[in-house]
Amino acid sequence: MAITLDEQLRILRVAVEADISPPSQILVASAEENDGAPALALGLARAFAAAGRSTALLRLDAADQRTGSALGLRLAELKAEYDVCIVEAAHVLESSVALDAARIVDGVILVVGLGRRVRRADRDVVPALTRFGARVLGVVAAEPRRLAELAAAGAHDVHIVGPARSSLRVVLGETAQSPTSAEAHLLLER
Amino acid sequence: MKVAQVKDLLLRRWRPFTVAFLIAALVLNVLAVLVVPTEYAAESSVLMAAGGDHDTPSDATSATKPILSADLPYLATTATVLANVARDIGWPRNPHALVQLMHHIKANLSAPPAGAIALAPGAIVVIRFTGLSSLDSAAGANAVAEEMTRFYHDRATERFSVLTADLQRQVDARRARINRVDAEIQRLTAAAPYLATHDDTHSLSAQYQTLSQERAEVEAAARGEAAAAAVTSRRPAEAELAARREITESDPAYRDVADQFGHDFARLSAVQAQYSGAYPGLPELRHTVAGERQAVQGRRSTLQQKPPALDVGYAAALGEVTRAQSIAAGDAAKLQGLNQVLGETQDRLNAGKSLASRFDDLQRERDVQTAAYGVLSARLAEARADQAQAGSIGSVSVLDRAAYGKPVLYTVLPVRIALALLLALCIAFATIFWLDRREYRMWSVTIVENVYGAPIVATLN
Repeated sequence: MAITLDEQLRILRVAVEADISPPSQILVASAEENDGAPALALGLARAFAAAGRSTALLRLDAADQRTGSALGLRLAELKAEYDVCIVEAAHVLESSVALDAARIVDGVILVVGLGRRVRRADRDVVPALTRFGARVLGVVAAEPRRLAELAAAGAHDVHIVGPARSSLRVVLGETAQSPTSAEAHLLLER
Repeated sequence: MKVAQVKDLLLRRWRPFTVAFLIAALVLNVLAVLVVPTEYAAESSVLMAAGGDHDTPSDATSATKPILSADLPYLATTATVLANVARDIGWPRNPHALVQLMHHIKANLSAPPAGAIALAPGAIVVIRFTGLSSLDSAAGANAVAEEMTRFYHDRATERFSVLTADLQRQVDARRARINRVDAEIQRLTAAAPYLATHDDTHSLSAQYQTLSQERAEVEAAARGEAAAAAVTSRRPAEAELAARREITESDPAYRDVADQFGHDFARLSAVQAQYSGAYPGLPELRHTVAGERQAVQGRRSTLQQKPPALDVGYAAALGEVTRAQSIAAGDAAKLQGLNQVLGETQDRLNAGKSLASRFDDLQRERDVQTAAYGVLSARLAEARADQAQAGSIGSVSVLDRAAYGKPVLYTVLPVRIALALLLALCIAFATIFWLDRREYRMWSVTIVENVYGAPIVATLN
């Protein structure tokens, strides 16, 4: 019997919590841009939220010029406010903000889309993150169609308030007990 | 590779798979329809009805190893059999063509069904020949069976063939030598018929003896005649002296002068005896006598100059001399003739002795050659009998001839098309497998784990 996508996400949540106890901050990143890091970050945030954890989803802006200390300060604020903070960063090796975030967060989960061609960045990403002091929890191998389903499902759960641009920072904060748990509460920050 | 992986591969690569399959199917079907011909296979069989493998003849490559029934299929594709089959069916006979021909031939021992009872010792070799037509395949199968059988018999009797061939050569050589000796004898006999019998030789010797005796007699007679001729030859001189003396004496003038000379010479002698030199008239007398002597001598000389031919005695003496000389010449001629005949006879006798010796040598050689010929002929007959016996042991014969060939299943058009499609399918699969291997992709979590060097914490599939 095939395991549902939600169950697979719950398994992933359990695996993460086994390594890092809340409050925790987790970076969901990928070596390539289209590997589905936003979808997995959204799915993982939904899994934590469904498990009753107040969860924030922070989408990093590659053009953000803030220093690591400023980012760390902001993440510390979120950590104080939420049980789990999921930080999403695609193409981690080509973004200084993402590398700063990887160094600051409690653990890094890499996502890779199955079936795509192997590239040099795939082999370099783990050694590079380790060299920067990041703790790589592991890799999530995801079928592209599953990631597509995840992204589509996330679209129903999340109300994006404000302009949905790449510079958008989305913070998802809601508990399972919230009356609006079926629809995630979005905080918009700029 | 699991079925799920193949299915996944097909899902991922269905486009190149389809393209590859269509192209391969098109090309292969065109080839299958237009290029690959329908082949026919015909079968013939050869029976080896041997008393046992130990009775079979030796292989040509070994003097001691017998040809076993298990070796029979091998015989079908030996170079000798292939060459003969190619000759029989009109196949090219170059080495490359013979190798191709070998691929058309399959020979196997027939496998008896389980529980079959062997009625007699032996083996059956089934020969299968594939060709482009039913008749060609049947002709090929039959040719292989026949040539294989012939080859087997040749090998079976090869050692005797060598022996009989060698004996035959020796017999032929002896026969040729005898023929040459006979021709030589015939030539000698034609040249000297008496050589055939020794009596003729003896008669020639007797003839020689007779001639020799006759020659001795003639020679003795000739010597007598020569002596007589020598004696007779002196008679004309004596007759001539007498004739001249008679001519002188009968001449009156000579007689007068001689008489006067005698008278005066006597008177001179008396005077000289009786008187001294002082006798008067002595010198005149002496002078007279000397003059008369000269006159006598002059007359005599004159008379001596006259030929005595008219003298009867002289003429008779001359005739006797001529007759004696004729007789001597005749004897000499006869003697010369006899000498010639004797020389010829001697030559013939000498030649006859040489020819007779050669004749005897030839006769002796012919006897020797004839005896050797007889011995060799006997050995040849014995060897041929052994050869026939060897050929009859472990005999191999064509058991069943092919009448026609049946189409080979995999060469029938529908089967060819089906095989082409199957092959196209394989090519299509091979193509997508190749594409998959050429592009290193993250098809599995194992690959992801190996590439990233980190554990897989979850899989979304």
